[in-house]
Amino acid sequence: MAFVDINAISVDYGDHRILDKLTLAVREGEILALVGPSSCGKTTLMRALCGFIKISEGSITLQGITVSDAASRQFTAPEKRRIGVVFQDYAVWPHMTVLENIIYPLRKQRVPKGEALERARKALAQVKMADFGNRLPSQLSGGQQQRVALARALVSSDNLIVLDEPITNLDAKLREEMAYEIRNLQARAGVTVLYITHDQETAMTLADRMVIMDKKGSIHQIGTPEEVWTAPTDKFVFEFLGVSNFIPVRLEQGKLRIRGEGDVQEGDLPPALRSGNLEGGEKISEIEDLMLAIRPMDIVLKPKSEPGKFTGTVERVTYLGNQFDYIVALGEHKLRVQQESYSAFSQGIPEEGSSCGLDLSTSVFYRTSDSRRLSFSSAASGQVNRKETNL
Amino acid sequence: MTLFGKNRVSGRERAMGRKGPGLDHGLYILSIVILVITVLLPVLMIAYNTFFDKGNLDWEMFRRVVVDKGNLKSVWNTIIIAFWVTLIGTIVGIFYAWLIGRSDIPLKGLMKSMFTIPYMFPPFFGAMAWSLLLAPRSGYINRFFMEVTGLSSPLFNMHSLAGIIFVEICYYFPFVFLQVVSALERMDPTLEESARIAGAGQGYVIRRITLPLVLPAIAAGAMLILISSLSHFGVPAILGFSQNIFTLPTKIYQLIRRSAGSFQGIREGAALSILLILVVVAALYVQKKILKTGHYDIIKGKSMRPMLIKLRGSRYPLLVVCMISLGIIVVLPLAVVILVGFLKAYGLPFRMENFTLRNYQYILFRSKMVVDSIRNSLFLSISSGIITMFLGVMIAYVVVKVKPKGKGLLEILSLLPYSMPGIVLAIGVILVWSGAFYLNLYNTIWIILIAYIARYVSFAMKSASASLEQVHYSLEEAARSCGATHLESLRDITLPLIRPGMVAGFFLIFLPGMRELTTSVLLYGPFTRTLGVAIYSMNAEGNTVQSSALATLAIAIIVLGNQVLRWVTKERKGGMIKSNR
Repeated sequence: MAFVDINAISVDYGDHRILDKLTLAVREGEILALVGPSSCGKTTLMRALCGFIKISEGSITLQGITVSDAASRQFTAPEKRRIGVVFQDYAVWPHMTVLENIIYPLRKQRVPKGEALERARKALAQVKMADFGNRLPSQLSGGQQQRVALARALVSSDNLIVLDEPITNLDAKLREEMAYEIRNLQARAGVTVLYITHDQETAMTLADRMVIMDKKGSIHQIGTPEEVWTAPTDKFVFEFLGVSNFIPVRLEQGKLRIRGEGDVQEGDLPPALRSGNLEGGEKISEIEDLMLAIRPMDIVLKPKSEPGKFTGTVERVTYLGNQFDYIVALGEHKLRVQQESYSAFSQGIPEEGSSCGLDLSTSVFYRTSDSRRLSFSSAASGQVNRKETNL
Repeated sequence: MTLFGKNRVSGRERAMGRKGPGLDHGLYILSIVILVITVLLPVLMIAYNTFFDKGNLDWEMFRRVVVDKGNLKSVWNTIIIAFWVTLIGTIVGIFYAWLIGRSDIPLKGLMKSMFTIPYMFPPFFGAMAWSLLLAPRSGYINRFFMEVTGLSSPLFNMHSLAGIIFVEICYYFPFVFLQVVSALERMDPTLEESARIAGAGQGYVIRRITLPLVLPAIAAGAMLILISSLSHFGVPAILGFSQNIFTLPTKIYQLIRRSAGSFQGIREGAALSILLILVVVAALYVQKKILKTGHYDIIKGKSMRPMLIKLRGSRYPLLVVCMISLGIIVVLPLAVVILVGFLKAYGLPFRMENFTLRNYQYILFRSKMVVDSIRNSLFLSISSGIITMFLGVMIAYVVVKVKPKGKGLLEILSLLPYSMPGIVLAIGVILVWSGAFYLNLYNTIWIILIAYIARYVSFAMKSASASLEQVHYSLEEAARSCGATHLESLRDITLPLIRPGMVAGFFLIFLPGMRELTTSVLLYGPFTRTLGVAIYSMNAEGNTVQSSALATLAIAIIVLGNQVLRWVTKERKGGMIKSNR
């Protein structure tokens, strides 16, 4: 049994359905990052879990105890759920000092005064705010307020903490630092953390597992950051995780042909596609339309066109310090290509307007019909991960 | 406090996991019930009693009231007065607002605070003062004029339609002035600057850029003037009665007083009230048609440094004009009321040997009626301030935070009294609370309290909404997730955060409550006179010096209250209410 069981819940605002039969399990002691574009229902999910809104279908179970059940109209009030929450806007109470903010949950738990003070002090020290106990929130910076909110959440629950986009308002350096601290705290305190964000980078650095949601609020993939990064289950996940190139291609007579108007190129099949054996015994048809997906860093730029590879025209060269960024035209398609500065300098920087060879052999392929990834039964490319993705 | 008493039960029910109405639902029902009883019921009773007599449909009385010549004349007077007051008041307000908001005229700070002074005092004080100065035969100025010139006709007769219009303008133009000044201060000056850069002349910029941008503010201010003037009682009562000039509100008052509280008289008053409501609705409709205002979001919330127009040669002449008009509008009436309050008898010249403290001795120690009225007004203003403020907080909480399906109804009900003439409300309250529903409060102080609550609930609700909107919902939810029940989160988080707003809201009710006349003049009984009623009736009975002394006392109380209000709102700006993003 999972620590938190969200079982086919739906949430409606009037006629508008925010979440539709969403199912999710959070394991004990993990950091689960819920990632999705803004307004995809992440916050709604958090609010349903905490009991700030009612669900219209399904049920939610916390440590085996049902707290929300639409069918039996069961509903446990938020204050009985014992979930520590760090809100998007921190929600540090402006009329209380930092220490009063942190003692408040202990007061509500009827913890004796002396012990409460001691625990609050300890929590403040944990977030490195021990010297700020008597300040008012208006005297704190955004990052400091956030630590106060985190300390308050830690004090109010020692088993489940939900963080709703908490560090997206901070600058990059502070964000990194906070992510590291949340990780540390979780390891020390052993709490289960549900981390909600639209920032997949932070999620990657922080999470044990990631959940990728789309705009409509449905889950596309659940897996470790490595699994999600190396084997995005469909086109949406691939695109969501970072800058991507998509090229429509056709598999025909053992060749890979770029689809599109005008100068149509053909190239060798990448190793992954050669065997043609799909998972579950399926076979790729002789002729099949696919979507080739590849990240800018994974495209290998060659000074000259090579037989069996594709040939493109370099349209723009931008030097970014540690790397070069190119726009390369492949027929009518524009590709974003990135190359480490060291290898760029060693093989010569291409001129704008010159032609170049493109090695796309580390591509991933998605079916045009349902945008699902082709996963192969024999590990031909070594990159394709065959682990069950828990959906 | 009854506010939460009923709901503690539902809160506990919810905490125990039982199904049933939650705290939010309870608050919603409670708000609706209170508003229906205090606000909607009086209106319904007016309509019912106008068209029904002992349960039978009766159009005859309404028809007779409508075609009555005297009543038609008063409808006409009401419209004429409101028209001129709105038109001239708006123009005057815009002129001074532009001068202070956009020109380089000196002494701006002083003038701005001076121009808002009439806002603090009830217009009937002004009517009293101007009557002292320009009553046809006894007014100081008229007497001086007739002595000097030897003429037998006065310089100006304040007891006339023109006089009523003049006094109302003096007290109502600040509505437009304040709205427009604040709009001008919040307007993005680059809009004007870019027009100037594009080659437009100053006059063109004012006409085509500035004016259209502040038009919504002008319209809002003009609407306030219009509604206030249509339903106004004090000025036409003081200046019009002696000349048989009636407006609808004074006609209603006369009708009720003359019939000495007989039911037929009250029914006719109700019919006239319907007429007054119709006039108000029609006037608002016409105004909306004329001023079809678009919505501009160009006026920003933060204040910017506006481009000031150089007045050059006309700077000092305009300053003189401002000073003279301030002297006439603000200083002169106040000075006259205060001075006359110290005179041995009205009509004596202002000389040292004619001054005395006897009037104060009389009103403070000898007249039980006056002492009662001060006590009554203090009781009414403080208790209606506290009750209405809590009521406003509850309604605003439901509207702003809970947002139930029926929140539109709640908003309409709570904003209805805002445009309902005070005298109409008084008639409605009489009809509801003098035995129609097994409860007779007529001639007690409680009926006035109920009327005040109904009258001021929209102020309280607006002020409370403004401060509640500053409290982000996550602050309350954070408390819930920390283990606080809904009720505890309200008590520990929401209420402390809006407390400064609540104090300010209290004063916004307390101050108008202290000077209230229109509603209480119909509701007072032998022992329940209010301060306004006492001043008014003493003045009407010819006890001019005593009523001036009492008015001076009221001025002192109001000024003191305003100082406290200013201090409170200043404190409030210092604190941070928003959850810091």
